[in-house]
Amino acid sequence: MDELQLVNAARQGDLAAFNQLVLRYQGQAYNVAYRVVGHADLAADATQDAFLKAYKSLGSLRGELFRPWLLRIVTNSCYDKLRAVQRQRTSNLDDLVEDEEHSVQLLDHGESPQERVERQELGQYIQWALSRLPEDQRTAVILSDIEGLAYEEIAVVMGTSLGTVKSRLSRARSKMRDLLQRQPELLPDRFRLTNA
Amino acid sequence: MKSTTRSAAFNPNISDDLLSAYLDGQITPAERQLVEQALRADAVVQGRLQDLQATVQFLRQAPRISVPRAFVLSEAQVLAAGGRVKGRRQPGLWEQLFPRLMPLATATVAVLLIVVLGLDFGRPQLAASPTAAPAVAESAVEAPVQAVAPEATAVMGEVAKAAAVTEAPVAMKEAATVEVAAASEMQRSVSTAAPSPTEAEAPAAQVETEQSAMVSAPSAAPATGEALAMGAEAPAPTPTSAQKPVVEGVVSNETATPVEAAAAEALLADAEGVAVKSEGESETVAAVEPAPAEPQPGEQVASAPADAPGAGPVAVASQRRVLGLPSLAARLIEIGLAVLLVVLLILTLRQRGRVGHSR
Repeated sequence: MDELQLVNAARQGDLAAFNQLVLRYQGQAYNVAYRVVGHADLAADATQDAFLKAYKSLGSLRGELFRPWLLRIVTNSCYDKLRAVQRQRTSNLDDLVEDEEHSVQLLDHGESPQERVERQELGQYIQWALSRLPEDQRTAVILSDIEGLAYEEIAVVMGTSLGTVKSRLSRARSKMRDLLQRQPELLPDRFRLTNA
Repeated sequence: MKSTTRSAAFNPNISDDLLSAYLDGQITPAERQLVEQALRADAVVQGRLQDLQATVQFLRQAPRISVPRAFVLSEAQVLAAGGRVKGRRQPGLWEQLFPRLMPLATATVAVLLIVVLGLDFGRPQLAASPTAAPAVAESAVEAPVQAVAPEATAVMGEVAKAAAVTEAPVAMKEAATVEVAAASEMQRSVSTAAPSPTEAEAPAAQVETEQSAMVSAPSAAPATGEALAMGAEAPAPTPTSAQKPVVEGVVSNETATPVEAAAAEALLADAEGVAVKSEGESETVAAVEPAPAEPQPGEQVASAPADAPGAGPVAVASQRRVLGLPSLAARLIEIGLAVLLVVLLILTLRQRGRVGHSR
């Protein structure tokens, strides 16, 4: 069944059809959640809650694409988790960034161990830089530059206008650039900036 | 390190927003022309664009993270969250509201139980003040004393004497209190007979009974001063409601029936502290004095049946009867609420355990 048929079947209470959608989008949903909250367990909880909310609110999906609608629920679920963490007086997002021992597992690309280590370090550095951004800018740059969504989809996910998406994305990229320029030695050569 | 946007060569016409949108192809044709013109003419603008491109490239290299587990939903999860599953019976309104109402109902019952217990424990204070009735009776006795009929003028003279005497020592006042209490006992017996004023024979018999009661009470002294002196040692029967018939006896009556009726009325009105005030006490004592003698035609003393001592506790007993019934009801309510609270707690915990397992 194609996506539209699965959505219609799920809307009628077909849980198996909805779980097919879950399997299709759980990877992207979890990656977005992890990049937003920076913690594996928190991201898993947010993703599970998001899929549950999505199933219950399928009736609100009217004529729009399933993916941005789902990712909107995922990002909102992430924000809820972050608020809960802040209410429990856990310190800022920095403390949520996992150390190497508990870092997430990367998808296996069949690379050498050295390459894998480099990729893991790169991922940790990116996560560290993302944690320095405000939530809205962080979400914009994750959806655009990491997940590859178009501006229109990002606008649906974030519930804002195209102009706001452009503005947030621009500021996020500028801040990321400044962070990268501070510690250029941590970057592979090909990522070294010209004006560093 | 400062951003290149703040360098001296910064072209204010080409902002970072414009360059970022240019990278993604999200600008108008006019804006594109402006950017490309600046890129050709200004090397700094070129450098800024390259930095933005590198940053975007850097982010696009972020590794993909494998999911820790499958996030597929189970039927139990969906149903516990209030969702519906095809082929499964939809939970009714009560089943949907039950998980939310249970904690509220439990808390409400707990609060009610605490309130009922608090009211019940405060109840004994109401029954622990038997002096209220006697004090009321005493004050009520004082009023009719003030309105005594002319036939009782002689008695009033005696009262004045007694008043003078009682002003002296406190012990004498206490004795008067005892005297009055004894008289109150007899008055109370009259109050029980008051509802049947048509029994003309009763007053006579009651008078005789009262006389015997008065005699039996050691506090009944022939003389005012002696009475007061002896009163300290006399047993104090009880409630000053017994004073009422004595005072009413001061009021002359030509018939037995009016006397009894007046006695009943005086009982209701005689609630003030005659036993406390010396004047009232002495008046009562004076009124009591003639009682042992044969009753004059003009005056009748309220009867005091043989069981006069039992008349005092009647008021208290009636109070206790009134308090006993609500106490039983309170106990039943407490037991019921406690049982309901236990049941609700069990159901609430089971419901939460069910939700926890489904997650």
